[in-house]
Amino acid sequence: MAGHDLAFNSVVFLFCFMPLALLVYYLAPGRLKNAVLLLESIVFFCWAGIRWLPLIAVLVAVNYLAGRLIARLQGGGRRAVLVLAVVLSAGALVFFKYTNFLLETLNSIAGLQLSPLSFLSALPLGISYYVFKLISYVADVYTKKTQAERNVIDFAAYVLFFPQLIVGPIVRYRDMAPVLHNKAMGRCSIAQAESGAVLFVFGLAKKVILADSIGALWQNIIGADGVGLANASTPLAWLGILAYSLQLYFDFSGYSEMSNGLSKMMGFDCPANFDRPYMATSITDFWRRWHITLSLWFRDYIYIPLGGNRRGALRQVFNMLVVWALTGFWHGASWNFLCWGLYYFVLLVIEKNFLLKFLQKGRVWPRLYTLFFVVVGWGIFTANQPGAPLGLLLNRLFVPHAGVSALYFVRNYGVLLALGCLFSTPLPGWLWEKTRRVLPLRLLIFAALAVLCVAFVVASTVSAALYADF
Amino acid sequence: MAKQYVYRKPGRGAGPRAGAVLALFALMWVAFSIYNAWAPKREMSELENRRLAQFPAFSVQSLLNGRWTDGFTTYLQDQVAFRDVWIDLESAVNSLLFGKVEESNILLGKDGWMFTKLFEITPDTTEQLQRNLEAVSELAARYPGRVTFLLAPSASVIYPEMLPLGAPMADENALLDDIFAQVGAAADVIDLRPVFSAAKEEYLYFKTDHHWTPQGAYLAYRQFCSLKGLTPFDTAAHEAVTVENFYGTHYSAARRWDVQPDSITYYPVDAPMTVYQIDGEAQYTPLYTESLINTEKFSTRDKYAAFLDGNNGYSVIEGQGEGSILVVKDSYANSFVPYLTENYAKIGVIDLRNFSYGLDSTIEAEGYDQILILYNFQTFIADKRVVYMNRPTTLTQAAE
Repeated sequence: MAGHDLAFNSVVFLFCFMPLALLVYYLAPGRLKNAVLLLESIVFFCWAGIRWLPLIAVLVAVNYLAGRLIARLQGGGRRAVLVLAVVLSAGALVFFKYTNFLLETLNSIAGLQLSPLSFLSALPLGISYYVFKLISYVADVYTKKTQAERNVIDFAAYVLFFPQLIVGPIVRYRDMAPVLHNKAMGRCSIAQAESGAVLFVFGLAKKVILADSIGALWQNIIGADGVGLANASTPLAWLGILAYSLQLYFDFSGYSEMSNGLSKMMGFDCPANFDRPYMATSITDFWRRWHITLSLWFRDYIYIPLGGNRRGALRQVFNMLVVWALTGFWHGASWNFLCWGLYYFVLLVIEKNFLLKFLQKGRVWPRLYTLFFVVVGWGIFTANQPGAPLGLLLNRLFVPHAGVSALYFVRNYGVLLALGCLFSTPLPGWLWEKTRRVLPLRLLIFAALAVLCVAFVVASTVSAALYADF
Repeated sequence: MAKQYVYRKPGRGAGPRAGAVLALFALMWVAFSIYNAWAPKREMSELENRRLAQFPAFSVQSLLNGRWTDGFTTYLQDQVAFRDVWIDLESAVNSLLFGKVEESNILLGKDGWMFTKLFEITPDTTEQLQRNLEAVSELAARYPGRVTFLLAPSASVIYPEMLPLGAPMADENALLDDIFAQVGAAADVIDLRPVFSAAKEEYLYFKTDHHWTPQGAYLAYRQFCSLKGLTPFDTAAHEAVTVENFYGTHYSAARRWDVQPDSITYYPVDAPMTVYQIDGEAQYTPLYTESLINTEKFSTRDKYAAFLDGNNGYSVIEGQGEGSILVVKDSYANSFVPYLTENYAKIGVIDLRNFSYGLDSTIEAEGYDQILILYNFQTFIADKRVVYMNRPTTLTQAAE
């Protein structure tokens, strides 16, 4: 079987791949930088084996040619090429991500015995992200928001760009093209590299110190040797789903910040993917702050092309339904993700139609309202995990139950949970800005955090071989 | 995002120098990356008690299918410079800064105590436990009056007040009640909970290790003697030896920053133990004969392994008593068996984790009168090889 992907929070990435990749990239002359970047990205992409390289190569080639053709053609031909390219890219995503799910569904609906395709058991690395990047590119060329890329190396470097390969963010070609075309020796300023380094280390800290530690609480409940959701008391169930919500946020936003930090160190200013989503004052607001690049992608390449809100209220509701069903399914080939998407569709339709104007008047309750529905939403989101069926979770959350008390978990995770809540607010960022004037303090905080991150990265690899000979 | 603040006040120099944090980052990363590449590599981690990954053998094929990079990833993380220091730091930060009372599935109890985290008995384990109980009952039924079942409780059952606040441990007491009731129908059982609880001021369990101490084992042994009508080993007549600074497996996993090292106090019993190579069913070739306590191991990290020289498949000890006994066991028996030399002439020891045959042929060929099944609760409920004790004797070739 194939190996493991190259995670940012691994020793090999932090102290081997990243330093070498940055060094070679900095030393490379301007016109070779994109080639270097592409080579590094291919190494990153093939870390777990070359199995999926042909797929991405074909998709890059198809969309590169489609871009060139769309730029040259006029009239109906343009549209045909666009449709062809989108169908091929989206088709690859659908095939590799959803075939087995469709087979399973067919089996259960029609009572068939179709066996799943074993080579689809692992999702091709990053396909959900790079397919969206490709579609945004051809669509932008088609709508003349950007020019078609002429240099295939530059284009491939954009698609395979290793900081964004595994978990995005989905940055558009038109946002990265100016830097890709900058063939000067120094692509990034000292200040830019510095803020990149800070972003990277803070992101790493969010991932390895907060997300991984807090996530253990939820695993203590639903994991194979956890106390079991069915045994959890209602306060513990709430504590667990709260911890899971914090874990998801720090995991994903931490990874996005690491990605953006790396991009910055290479000269690319990429838009932030998260903007303190748990401070949102409505569900509408939440989705402007959570996984922003994905929401914007769906807005610009699905919702608006479908007509957005310009074709009447009924059509708008339909367009939202399409967007949220797709958003749900994008997160995974499982029914609970569709339900999760539709859950937001319902909430957003309600907000759009009447709730929003009340929410805008409140100060505290809109935040609590938003948090409540978002946290319950994560319950739906995680319902495909063994040990966390939705019915059971809702039952434990909303019907008061006795059971395993939350006491131990508050004792063990209390400080981390409090830190998690604190770091969901703007306060730490504000404090960090304040330290600008006190350089030694700033250096001290940064160094301490970096050291701590490495300690947590290394300690997460402590082997469990201790009990082989109990 | 990339806002640039420039503070300049008259009479003061430039405010924040852009690049200071970057310089620190570059310095830290480059210095550590270079040192990490050059730093000496290790074969073994004594602390983690395992071999560390070595530089993977290279082939084009292993590179293309991702195996080489996988090996390289593991190699770098296992061999990272100051690995033990990083892990200690993480553990200390978790305790001191984050107030955690759990690390790597070890509960950090009061007063230096550490316990195995056991919050839930999974359905799989429950099934395994049932199979194991039936296996013991089946064996006992084949040897009526000759089988004793001694199951040591976990330290957390005897010292529940030392657990971290509110730790939702699985209900081991209820399970032990069930176990003893079920096996008690067929065999003699020894439930140590009353004796241990009454003697809890004594040093019964290690704080840093998952074993009981030789004192705990001795108390269990006295129970065994009173059940069998034997005169126990007289501790007053022997001089005890104490080995200090024992950091056990709990410590290796949790790396508690405020660890209180254990000590091992044992009675040097000089009885010869022969460790056998298992050639086939009931066919043994002596490998070597040594004292049943290998004192050399007291100077290593894994000090408990001195008793019976670790977990061998089959070994026989010559005692000074009469008759013979076969001990079927996990490592809890290792510090228990030395006391039996007082009462038996021949003590056979079988560890089913390194022994693939049924017991019948060996009991018959070696002529054992008594059978003692000695496990600790946590091993017993999950061990998949307990059931091997009833493998049919007709089996003549190695099963695995």
